[in-house]
Amino acid sequence: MSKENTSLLGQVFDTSYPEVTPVAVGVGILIGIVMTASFSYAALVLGFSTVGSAVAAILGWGTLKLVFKRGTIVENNIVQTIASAINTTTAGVIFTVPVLLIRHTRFNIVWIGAACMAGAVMGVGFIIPLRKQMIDIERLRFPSGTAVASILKAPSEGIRKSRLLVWGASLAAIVYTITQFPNMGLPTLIPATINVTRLLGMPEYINNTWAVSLLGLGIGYIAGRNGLFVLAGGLLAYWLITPLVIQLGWLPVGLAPAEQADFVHNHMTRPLGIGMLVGGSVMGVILTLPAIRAAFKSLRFTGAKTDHTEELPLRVLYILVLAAFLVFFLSSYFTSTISVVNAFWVAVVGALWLWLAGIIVSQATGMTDWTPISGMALLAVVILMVVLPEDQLVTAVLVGSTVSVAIAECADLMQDLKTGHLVGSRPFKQQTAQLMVAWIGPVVSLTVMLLIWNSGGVNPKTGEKLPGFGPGTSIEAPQATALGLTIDSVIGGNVPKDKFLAGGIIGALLSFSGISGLGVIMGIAMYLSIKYILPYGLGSILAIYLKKKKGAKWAEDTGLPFAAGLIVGEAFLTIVFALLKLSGVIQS
Amino acid sequence: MILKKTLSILLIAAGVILASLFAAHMPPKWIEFGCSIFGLSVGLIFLKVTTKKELASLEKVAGASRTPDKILREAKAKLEVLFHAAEKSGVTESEIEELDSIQTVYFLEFASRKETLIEKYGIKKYADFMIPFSMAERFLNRSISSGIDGYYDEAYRSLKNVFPYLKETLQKLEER
Repeated sequence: MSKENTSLLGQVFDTSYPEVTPVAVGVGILIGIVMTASFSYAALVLGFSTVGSAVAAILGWGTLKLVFKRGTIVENNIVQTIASAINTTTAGVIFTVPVLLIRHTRFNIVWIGAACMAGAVMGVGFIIPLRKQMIDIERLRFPSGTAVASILKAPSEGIRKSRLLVWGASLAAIVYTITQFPNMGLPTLIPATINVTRLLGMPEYINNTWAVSLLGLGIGYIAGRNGLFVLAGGLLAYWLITPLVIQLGWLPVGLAPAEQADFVHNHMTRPLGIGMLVGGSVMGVILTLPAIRAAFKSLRFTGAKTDHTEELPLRVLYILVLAAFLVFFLSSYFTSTISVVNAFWVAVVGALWLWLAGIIVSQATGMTDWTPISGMALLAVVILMVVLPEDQLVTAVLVGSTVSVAIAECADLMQDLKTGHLVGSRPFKQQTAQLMVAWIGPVVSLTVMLLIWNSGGVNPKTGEKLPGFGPGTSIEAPQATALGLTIDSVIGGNVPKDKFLAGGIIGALLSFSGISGLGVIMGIAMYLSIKYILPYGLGSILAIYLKKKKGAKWAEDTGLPFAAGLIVGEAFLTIVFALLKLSGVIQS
Repeated sequence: MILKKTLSILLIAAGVILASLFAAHMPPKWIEFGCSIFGLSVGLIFLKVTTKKELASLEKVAGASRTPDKILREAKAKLEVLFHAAEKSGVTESEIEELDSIQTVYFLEFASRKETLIEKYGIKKYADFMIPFSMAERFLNRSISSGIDGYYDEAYRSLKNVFPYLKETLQKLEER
């Protein structure tokens, strides 16, 4: 086959080694829609959402092998790419848009939906050209992407790796089930979290709480050395700064001892962490500009030595991103009451932030597996308030949801492309698949949201329409309610800009340490909860120890499939238990 | 050298801890923060200088035994043997296992030297040779995956595609 006589579409469906096939696309879309609908409901009820690449890989493999009696490694990779591309936008929509309904704000749902779909396309379009920089040059680990590659290959690579995967998954599933005993009316054998602070009689402000999470341990194992820096950042925030701030008496007067550690995290270390994350990432981009230039240059010649296109052509991306930007601009204008000029500036600033935030979260995900979407959405709202000082809740939610959807797509696509690199998929095919379906997720989530909202019924006495979710109903939409309070706080001028700035300076300087992304890694650790950092750090220490003791090959061939099993086992059970809680089988 | 490096790391750690602490104050204690940032910057400069010196002395000690280009040449030689065998009798299951082993041992070892490679060659040149290297690696991975799936023609084609990119990587590594 030659590039000259084969169209791009023809190359997508080339079948010499089945990759993008109608079955794979169909199964991927189906799994994606089902997962998005379930997770959207769960996100409204429990404030819970997860990206299901690992789960989609297992479901896809099962469906392809058992139902269709087919499925190559790269074909299943397309299934999980499509399913996660659809599912990844759930949090971006469900944690933001419902706030407008809860507050009975007038808005146009069609334009909000259009903005979210445009955000999905912009996210994918903006991040594709950076694949070479992040995966080929930076060699970011993308722990979940690495785990999914191991999952995809294990069933075909022989009984040994499959067994390791199954053992890991079984162990994680058993441990997770035991931690859920209290919800099933059974006695606690292993608690979901272990408060070591209390066990050791340490002062309350030294937070030494461990989540019993083998998933965290597995991700930490795959992250390897980077996990040590995550641990260092976590210990800096929780075990050094928090006790020092409290001991030095730097807290507001009248704060109860039980509230002190939370206050330090919410008002001091967390905003510092966000600043470090942004500063580290921006400086990282500046320092690697020569590499980014080389990556862009090579995009024009990619595939020159082969007989097919390796990357989605830049001209296609330019057209799609421009079209999506236009939709975003129109949505900004038609959703609220702002002028055309203001709507244009909102769209320009929103798109620029979306691009930068996409890079930041992709890097953070690549180094640690954590995707700090809420922090980036918060900054989007802060930036918006600078551009548009009037009280504009609808525009804030519109930009917040668009940015959240876009950056979720960025991080997800990079995870999937890492998986693709490890199993030898062609990036061009994965990128095309992701672009084709990225817009579906917001449509599904918004449909679920509206269905639930309209299920509230009518007050028989007053004839007034009752809300289907929100505070005071059985579906509380906790994340959207919390976002509403955050937006109020930002609009009220309560933004820790000084912490962002100081954190930004520290993060930027750490980029010169010679350790890739140190500012980003430590920033994300200060932003996260310690209970997940500790098992993650332990996984990382285990990886370093085992690599030294048993060698790199053992760590890859034995440790990696087992760690991938730990991830998939707990991820599966988390979803199963969420569904059981939703259906009322067990307690919430 | 070790003492200097330890001191640099201690200075960086102290700088980060103190800068974070003074920034955490409401409002931040900017003067103390500035002093901590100065200490952090000095530590970073010292670390950069000592790392460069350490790298140079390590290269002298190690000689040419396990240089990055040597790792790649060994990998290329092993791949060529397998490719010639595949040309004669087609790709076999044992060859796929061998390819997997080459990927894990040689390709991963080369890539794991990222920070040393950047320090030695600079970010621009590092990017120039990592782009073809990653292409070679992806084709090798594709060869392994398609071989596992039983698509031996694709495994052969992908293996063939590894060589031009590996050659380009070695050329760019040797460019002064």
